[in-house]
Amino acid sequence: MAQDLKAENPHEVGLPPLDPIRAGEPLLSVRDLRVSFKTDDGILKAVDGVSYDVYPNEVLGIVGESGSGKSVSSLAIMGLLPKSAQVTGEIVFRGQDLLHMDEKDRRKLRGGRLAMVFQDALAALNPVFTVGDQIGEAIAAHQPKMSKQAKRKLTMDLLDLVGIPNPAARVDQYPHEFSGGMRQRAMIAMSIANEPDVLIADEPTTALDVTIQAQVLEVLERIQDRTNSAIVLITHDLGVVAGVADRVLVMYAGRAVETSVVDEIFYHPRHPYTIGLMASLPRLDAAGAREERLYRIKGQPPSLIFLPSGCPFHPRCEFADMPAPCGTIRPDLELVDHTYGRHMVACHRRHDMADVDHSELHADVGAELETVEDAAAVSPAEATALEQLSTPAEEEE
Amino acid sequence: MLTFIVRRIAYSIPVLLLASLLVFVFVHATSDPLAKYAQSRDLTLKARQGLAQGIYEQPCRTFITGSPPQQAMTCTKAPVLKQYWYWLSHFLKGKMGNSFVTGRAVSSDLKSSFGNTLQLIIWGVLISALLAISIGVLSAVRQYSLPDYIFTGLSFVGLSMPTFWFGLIAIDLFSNRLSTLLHVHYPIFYSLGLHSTHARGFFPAFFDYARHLALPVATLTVQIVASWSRYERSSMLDVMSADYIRTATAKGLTRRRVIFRHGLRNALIPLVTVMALDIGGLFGGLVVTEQIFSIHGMGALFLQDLGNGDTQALLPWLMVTAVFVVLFNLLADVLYGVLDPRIRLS
Ligand SMILES: Nc1ncnc2c1ncn2[C@@H]1O[C@H](COP(=O)(O)OP(=O)(O)OP(=O)(O)O)[C@@H](O)[C@H]1O
Ligand code: SF4
Ligand SMILES: [Mg+2]
Repeated sequence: MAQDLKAENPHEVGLPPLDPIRAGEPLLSVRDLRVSFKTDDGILKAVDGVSYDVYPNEVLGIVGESGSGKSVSSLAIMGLLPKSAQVTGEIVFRGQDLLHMDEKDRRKLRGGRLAMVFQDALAALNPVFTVGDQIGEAIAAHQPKMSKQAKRKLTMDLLDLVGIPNPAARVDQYPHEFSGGMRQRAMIAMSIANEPDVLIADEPTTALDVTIQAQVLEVLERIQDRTNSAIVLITHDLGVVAGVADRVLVMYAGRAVETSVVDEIFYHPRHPYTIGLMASLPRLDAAGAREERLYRIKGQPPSLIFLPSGCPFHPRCEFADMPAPCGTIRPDLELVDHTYGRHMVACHRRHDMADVDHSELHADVGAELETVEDAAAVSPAEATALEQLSTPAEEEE
Repeated sequence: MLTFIVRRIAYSIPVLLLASLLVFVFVHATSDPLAKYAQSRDLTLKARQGLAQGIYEQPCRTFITGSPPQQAMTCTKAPVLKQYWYWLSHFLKGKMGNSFVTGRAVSSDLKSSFGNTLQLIIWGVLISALLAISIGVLSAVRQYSLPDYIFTGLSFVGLSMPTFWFGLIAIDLFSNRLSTLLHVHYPIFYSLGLHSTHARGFFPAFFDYARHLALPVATLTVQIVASWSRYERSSMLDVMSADYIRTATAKGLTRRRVIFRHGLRNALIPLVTVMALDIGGLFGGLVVTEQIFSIHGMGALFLQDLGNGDTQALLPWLMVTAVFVVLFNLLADVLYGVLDPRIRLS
């Protein structure tokens, strides 16, 4: 008999009936999720049929360039999209269908069983309340019976857990008195206050410099060890994914184009977009690395209002079979490898792609080469690939 | 915070001194106190001489001249700056002298007028603030809903309607026609003054007071609620689209708590500042309202003193209103610091 991985928190009251958490059974299942916005130019399909599962205790990395729908899909799970968003599909969390749940029940899950860390912690924290007040409020929202002292103690423990020095003094400070890295940690402390089952972290480290990034990621791993939560980690940064994710979902233009365990994605990518992403990674181990020129994916991300016909990646794809089927039929996510980590790819040429060695793309396409020094002059499309090279300035005290 | 307040007060002092100098010089440049002084025949000579101190170098000398013989005076005026200094040093000690025209102590007129205006302001501001915040929050939270459109329309009507017009219409409708409609021989709402003489006992007196206040306070409210509610609506809209509101929702807080604790608390910061600045201007700014409802407030006093050319009474009036403008400016700054920790701590 499968054993429940996590006992319910006895202080949390009034939750809708949830399935027990069991190893090998998804905690969160997203099925054919679609989110569209009405804009002046037409209907913008920000998320266009995304499906994935999140299992207990794992870190699922979601990667994709800017505008590929990573944030919108997570906000849909949290129920935080503006009213103008049209959401369809199915989001099942521990047996409960979130999209058809009444708002009151959904609110009870939000911030309790399902929590989210936002990207820009300065903007995401309320400037007029102390950090301790805001964390305490998150606790009180789900564990209303907890005494004031217990809440304060827990708040300080959380700050300590995420690595904020001197929590007793920090707890009464305002967000603007924190450095960027500390704010992000405070944000994380707030989101894990009720030991969520699923923690969605939307680019939690993008605004931070490399050393702080590493510390924040380490905090996330520590938290997972302690609370057994599953983490959905959204990022531009393939290095981050390689370091902490167990499985990876690659998104392109509002769709999932490839998913598998992290090693498969890095060593045997099958989708030309993923292959391009991998080829654009700087490789320090390769021979003559100093002279290495970086591959880049040509062209711009497509308009989400006027998507290209067939495979949305075809205008940028090196391997497109044109005109048919790539220009006419939209490929669905298909299983390519059962043996190791359910590798799924949405590409008509998925079987041919097994033979492509992405590390050779560096030399292959001389016309598409871009030197690292030109990073300042790249278009937004290329910026994604180069993201990990440019570290935003951010100081930690 | 305390040093901030002290420093801010210290900055206000030169501002007020400059204001007093300008007020004094301009008032004296535009009106001749001697003209009124000489005309007020009902004053005793002694009183006149007392009044004249500071304006004249020496007490005036009287003599009899002409035929038929008449009393006349000669006086030598002191230089303006000397007069100013004399006036200021007395004013700072609370000595405002007597009116050139009525002979009453300027300070007592000012006190009673100020009291009346203060009542209008307190009730008007209280009601306006409550209304403006509720309307602003409702309109922002339900942007583009029917109530939002209605309040938007009403606030434009309120903003564009002249005060005197609203006041007169209100008197006609609620003081005159309402009584006719109800076949009673007394006005439901009064349009004169703040009290009736016949009301005795606490509750009857308060009820009477409310019937007097209703229309002038409504007139004042219409003037300010329109702009305050628009202001609150836009600042609330601004705040509600901020990231921290999404965070608050993501924590699992109720919608009400998100709106009132996280939204309103932030949206109040700019509104409170604007309110404080506006209130400071109301002390001398209710001329029309007070005139229409025959309330002996600061506005009415100003018109009276101006009509009389009563510089002795005008100067303290101008100074008191100036002090309140400066004081509420100060209050606006202090409140901003109190409400926004980012200001408070830096
Ligand atoms: N409220 C909204 N109204 C209209 N369009 C929106 C709205 N929110 C997001 N979008 C659009 O949805 C698309 C996907 O946005 P999303 O924020 O999910 O991208 P992302 O993958 O998170 O990108 P990034 O890496 O830059 O955060 C974008 O084209 C964006 O313009
Ligand atoms: S389906 Fe065709 S166009 Fe799309 S990624 Fe695969 S090969 Fe390229
Ligand atoms: Mg995003």
